[in-house]
Amino acid sequence: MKPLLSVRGVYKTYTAAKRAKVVALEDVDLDVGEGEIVALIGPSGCGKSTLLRMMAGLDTDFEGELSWSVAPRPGKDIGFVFQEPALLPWRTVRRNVSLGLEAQRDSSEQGREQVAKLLDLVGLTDFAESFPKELSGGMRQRTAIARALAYNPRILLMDEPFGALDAITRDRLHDDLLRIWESTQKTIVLVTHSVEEATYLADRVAVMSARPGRIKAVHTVPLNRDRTPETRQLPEFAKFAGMLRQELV
Amino acid sequence: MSMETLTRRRGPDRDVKRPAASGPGDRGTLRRAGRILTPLAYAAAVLAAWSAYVALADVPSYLLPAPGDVLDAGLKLVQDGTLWPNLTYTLRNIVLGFVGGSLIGIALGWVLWASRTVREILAPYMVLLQAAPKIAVAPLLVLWFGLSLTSQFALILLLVFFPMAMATMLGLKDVSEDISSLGRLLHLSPWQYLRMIQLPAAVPALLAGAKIAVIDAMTGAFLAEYLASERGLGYLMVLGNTSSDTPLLIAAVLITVAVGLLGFGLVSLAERRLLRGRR
Repeated sequence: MKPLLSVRGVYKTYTAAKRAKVVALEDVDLDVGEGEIVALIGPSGCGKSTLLRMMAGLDTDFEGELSWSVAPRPGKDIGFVFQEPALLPWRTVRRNVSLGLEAQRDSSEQGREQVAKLLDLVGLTDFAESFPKELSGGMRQRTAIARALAYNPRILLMDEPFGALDAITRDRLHDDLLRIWESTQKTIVLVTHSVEEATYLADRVAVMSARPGRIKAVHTVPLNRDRTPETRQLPEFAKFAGMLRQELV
Repeated sequence: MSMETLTRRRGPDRDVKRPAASGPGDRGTLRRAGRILTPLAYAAAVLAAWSAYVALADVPSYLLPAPGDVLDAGLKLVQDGTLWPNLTYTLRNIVLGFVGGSLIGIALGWVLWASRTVREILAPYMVLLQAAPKIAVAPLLVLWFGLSLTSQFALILLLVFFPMAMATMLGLKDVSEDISSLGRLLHLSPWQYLRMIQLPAAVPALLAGAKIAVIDAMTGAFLAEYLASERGLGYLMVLGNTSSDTPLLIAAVLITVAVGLLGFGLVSLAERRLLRGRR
């Protein structure tokens, strides 16, 4: 089966201070299959966020090839979640979530239902008319995830989405994301620097090395798709996370 | 129970604080009353000092009239019907000048934000124009446009457009990296981006600019009337001055201050309503 997205031979260099050439990404190959959750893990500065921004079409200045089985339609097929929620403070939660639909001038009943369904899925129905400043950090990030999914994109790209949250909130959002995946079967690419996060959420984990950024290895997580907080207690979980940690040093 | 009595007995200051903290409603009422009473007490103190000084130091009325004389002058303005046409004339000029100048300023601010070339060409001249003292520019405007409404509007516009243009330029830049990325991801057209993201993001900066601009509009209106007009509050000041009617002069100044406070208050009110729910 042809993957949804394949990255082939991607290089990125940029010119730093004093005209020094810095190689950000070198010969990166990666496949992302339909309905799969792929985690990109690596030390800071390894170019994992750069790679994600390329997939999103936010960075087009690179060599190599990004090929899609179906080309993404501009503004419709890519959902993106930033590290910070990046909500619009003057819009309520509901209107933040429906931003993408509004951009497409979609005021259909299905659109409204989709927004309501997503708010329910992330547990924010009661806060639909609240403003972002009235929410906790976790609720804001849930709003951002719902916003990225509201226009039903083909792929969800997440750039360290839980990095700014406390440990308890982070665990809760992991389970939220798994629940979202179960009900939507979205393809997800997740950038993270946490081996536990990658192990808990992903089907496959791509480990990157820094300077120059390249894919060191791609591992399949040896756990079935049914993941619950108990999964973290399994010996396989600890063993796999330990192996990833070894690879990162 | 015994704990309650114990804590109560600990000190008298604790009991003094209690009535104020007994309920949020009471506290709110007290604070609201304080907000009204404080400026009133302030005004009363100033008036008392003023009267006392005039009475005790025996200052002649043409130098500093007593508050009562000023009040009489103000009442006379109301009674003989001179206040109303002059007040509305000035208010109309302020409103038209403020709205016109704001529109010009916002448009110019957008152009300055959008084009680096325009910014580099225009910015130094805008600053030069602002650095020139308006009291010196005003006679030039009279010379060019004559003793007409045109020269008065030119002066007000000149004062108003600058803070609005600067505020717009800063406000349009006030979009975080992530949110501008979001705009690209959602494939927003430039117009959608302006309407859905940039303008709402710029509202706090625009309101801050409007606070300065509304005061500048008043300064411009009074200055224009002071220099060249036969109507308006500025003209009343000139009348008071030239006819050595100091009570009239001071009454006109006080009305002017009231108008200034009104304008500033309206913008602040707009600010409170528009920024409700924001960070």
